[in-house]
Amino acid sequence: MGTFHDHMGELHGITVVVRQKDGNTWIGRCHSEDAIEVILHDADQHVVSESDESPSDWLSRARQMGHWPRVSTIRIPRETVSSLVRLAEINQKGELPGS
Amino acid sequence: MPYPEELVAPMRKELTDHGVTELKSASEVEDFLGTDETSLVIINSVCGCAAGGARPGVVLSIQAETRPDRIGTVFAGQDVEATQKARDFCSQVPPSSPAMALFKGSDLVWFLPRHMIEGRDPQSIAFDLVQAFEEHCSSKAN
Repeated sequence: MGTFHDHMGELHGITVVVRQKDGNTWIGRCHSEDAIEVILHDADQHVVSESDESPSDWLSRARQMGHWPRVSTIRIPRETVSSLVRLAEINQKGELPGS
Repeated sequence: MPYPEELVAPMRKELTDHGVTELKSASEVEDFLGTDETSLVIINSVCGCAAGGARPGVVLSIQAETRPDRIGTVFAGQDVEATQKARDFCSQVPPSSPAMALFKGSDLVWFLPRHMIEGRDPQSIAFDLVQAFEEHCSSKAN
């Protein structure tokens, strides 16, 4: 027994990594994604210009232990997104699949 | 806001029917982890990945020859105080549910966060758990 939302798309409820075209990265629990936007809940962001940690180190740590839910909900415009993958697909070095 | 208990009760029972100790208060969590033994704490939840992966994965894993001395569970969103206390023992780890934490005494030695449960089948989750048991535990099942 559990709560399921199969009508919401295959990434609904899944923890994903959103890499943006400016190099910044979000991790969060995907609510929905379409041609307009990606909506995440309980999200955290890595901003390249503000962090001492590289994006891959940040992702590697998140892959191992999870991420801190610092932002309740974020709507990311689709035109700013360069990739959208499951956090579980990130390798141990914190690299995106295929990189 | 907690879900109605009649909805959650079967989700608790999936684990307690297999000998998992339910921890419903902070003091119960403190007592549970206040030994030198190895302990697995399952952070249960109402979501689909707990139903489809976490709980059946745990049930499979505890049939393994090597397993923790004690297996307990807290229910995120339901038993708030107990869940927070369990998370206090995992302070370096971001909160997630469902999740699983393996302790030696009160020291966290292994953690399976939610994103490593989402979308995975129970056998794969059990495999990860058994590997962790074999690395960190010495108790043999009777």
